[in-house]
Amino acid sequence: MSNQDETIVAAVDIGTTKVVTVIAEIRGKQINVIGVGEEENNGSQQGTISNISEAARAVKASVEKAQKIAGKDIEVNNVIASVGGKHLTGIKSHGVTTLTLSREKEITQADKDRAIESAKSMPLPADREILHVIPTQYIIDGQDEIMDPLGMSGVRIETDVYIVTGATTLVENVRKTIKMAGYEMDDIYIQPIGSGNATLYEDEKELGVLLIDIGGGTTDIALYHKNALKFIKIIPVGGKYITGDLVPALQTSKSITEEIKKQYGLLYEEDAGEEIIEVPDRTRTSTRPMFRKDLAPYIKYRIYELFDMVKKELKNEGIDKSLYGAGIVLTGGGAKLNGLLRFVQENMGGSVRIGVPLQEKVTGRYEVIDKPQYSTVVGIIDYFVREHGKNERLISSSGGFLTKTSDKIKKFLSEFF
Amino acid sequence: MGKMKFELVEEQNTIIDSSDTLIKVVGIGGCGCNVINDMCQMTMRDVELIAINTDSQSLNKIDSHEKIQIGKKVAKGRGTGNTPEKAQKSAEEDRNIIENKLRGADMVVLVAGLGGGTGSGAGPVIADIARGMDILTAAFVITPFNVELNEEKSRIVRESYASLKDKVDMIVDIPNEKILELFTEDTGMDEAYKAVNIVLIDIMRGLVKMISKTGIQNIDFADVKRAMKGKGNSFMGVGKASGANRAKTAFENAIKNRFMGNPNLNDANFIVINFFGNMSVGDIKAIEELKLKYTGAGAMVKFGHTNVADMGDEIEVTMLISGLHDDALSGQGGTSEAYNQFTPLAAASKKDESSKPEESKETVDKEIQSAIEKSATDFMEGNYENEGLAIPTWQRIDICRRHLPKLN
Repeated sequence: MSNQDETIVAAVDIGTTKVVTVIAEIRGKQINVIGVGEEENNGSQQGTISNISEAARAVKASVEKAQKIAGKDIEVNNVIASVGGKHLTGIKSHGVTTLTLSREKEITQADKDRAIESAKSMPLPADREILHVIPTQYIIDGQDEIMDPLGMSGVRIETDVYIVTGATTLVENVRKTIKMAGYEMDDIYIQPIGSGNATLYEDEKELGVLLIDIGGGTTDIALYHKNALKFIKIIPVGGKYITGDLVPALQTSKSITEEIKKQYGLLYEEDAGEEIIEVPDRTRTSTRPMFRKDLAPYIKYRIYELFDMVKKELKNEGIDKSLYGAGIVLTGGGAKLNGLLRFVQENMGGSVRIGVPLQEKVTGRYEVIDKPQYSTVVGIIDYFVREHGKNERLISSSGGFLTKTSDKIKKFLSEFF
Repeated sequence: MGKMKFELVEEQNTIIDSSDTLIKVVGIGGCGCNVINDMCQMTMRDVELIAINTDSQSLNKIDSHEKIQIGKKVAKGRGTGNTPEKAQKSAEEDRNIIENKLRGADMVVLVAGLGGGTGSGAGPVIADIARGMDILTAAFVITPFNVELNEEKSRIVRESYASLKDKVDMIVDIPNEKILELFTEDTGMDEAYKAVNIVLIDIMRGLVKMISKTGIQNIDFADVKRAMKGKGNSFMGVGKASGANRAKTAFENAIKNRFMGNPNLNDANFIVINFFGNMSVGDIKAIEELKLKYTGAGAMVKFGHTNVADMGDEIEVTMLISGLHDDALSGQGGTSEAYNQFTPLAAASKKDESSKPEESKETVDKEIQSAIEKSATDFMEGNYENEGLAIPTWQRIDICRRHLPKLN
């Protein structure tokens, strides 16, 4: 493969507390990270953009930081972006079609598309748009659990899909933000799909795995089973609230509280022993001592509450442990909280691990993005590269923003298929 | 669409009178009816005033929207002669009448003197009726002078306070004894009593205004309800100030209420603070500072401010502090001793404590867990639309708050 086959992709994950950009070279399906940028974002709340110009500023700054690291000759015009927030919901749908009377009765892409179209033709409120249509299985003449029916024979083709929709205005706000920052948006993916793609092994997805992505403003739950996304739920509680819980307790500024949380925050008192930490006052002119262990109860009540919500959401949906036999993967910035792994193990049982972007997917600056807070951004690149074209959403229908980079990728990918 | 319009108006800082919340103030017994009478004479607006007594003669003298003579059979139109049992029976006798008069109220405020007959005996029954109708119920009780106290009267005060506290969402105590400390010896008793009533009226006015006026940062009935519901010992104060530092001074005036002692904000569970006036940027800044200062306490703080153009230089603040510990109210300086010697509150609380068995760590943990679980369910069922989610979990859930380590 020559260098000309390399494509540059820039992905922007607009989170509640920060915007993270990763610039990567795509070689084969390998993501070679060449630049990472991070910028504080004050333009989002609970996962959705509340101030476009501030969010756009953060996007621009974050992309430029990543560009600086990637090198001067890297130009970013097009980006792919993430969308998050409570407005994202998923529903199951079912589509049916019969094969056209072709001679061989062999299933073609057109047949597949028709089945998907049929599944998509459900009443959708005017203020919502479809973001992802994920086939969970195909059923051909009654035979189920078929993942790829292309080339198979049959008469009647059915499909079960999981459709993720979002509030049109909020999705539009992401587009506007990217545009205001000066970039073209090639595609948009929901955050839990990103983080799931980056952190989960294929066999986990096959066996069933529950992903819990604790971000700044939201906690996203995603269930993968039999290699397909089966359920997502966004709970509007994130790490930002933990900081908020500590502010009145520590009586210092938000930014100092955030630092203390990151450095010393913990869930189990005994993990701190008698360690004494110094809490600076608002002006950082003096400090006062406190036992580190005293931070624990202020944090743990929020975590208890959050995981009660997680468990209830799963129960509501009828999801039990048998559906996530491979266990639970915790990711997102909040996953770094000291004691969380133990808490989830004790509280929800089964095997629990912290998810970071999988090394097998990434080359280049892996050591930089080897952290839970980069799961989403790496994941959307991975999704863009691997699943492009498989995401059955009609990209062109939402304004024809399919542009240069993705065309290149498409062309380049087509060589493999 | 209606809602949209409403929000638009709010943005323009216009004030709308809302008449959806109906408050009924119920004076019980001689003392309570006197307060009602004063309220009528001082034209208390936006509330319905109801006087309840067994004594027909004294009831005749009262000027109020509604009057209920209870216990025609038991008390035969006379007073209850300092026997709460008689008053209790009287109220029970006319339960239906009382229920009918309270119907339709969103909130009932009971005003009664404790230590006599009717207030002490009928008060808890009326509170029970109101609560039974799912009406938010507050009680302002006036407790007697120390001189008046003998063993019997102390017992009545103690028992009626405890029983009332049990039945209302929130109770505010105003000891008459404070009058002795606050007025010079040659002040007429009439004037002194009137002063107590004025404090009560100011508070009621503040409360009504807080609920009915739509502010820029608005406090409405739902907030007040949340602050009061099942909160027990409470404090309410109104303070005014003008000139430099007016926001801060008004705030402090509200807290240093002459009759109720200083509430210890650190022990409060919920604080609602509403400012009225022609607010300036400086005032808002000052309020922000106060907010920061008091959010440090382990309480939920709800701030509101309403621009009232015609108030000139003056700023008024209404405070509602609820969920205080039994011993959280302390007098000012040297007067605290006298207040503490006056025993009803202290005695009632001591009794409470001794009867409560030590909670084991496991029971506490279990209680905490189920409280948190309940909170999680509530948020989830409300589709996480409730703004309370941003408030620290430990602040929102009473039992969590009580089991936190004290940070220096």
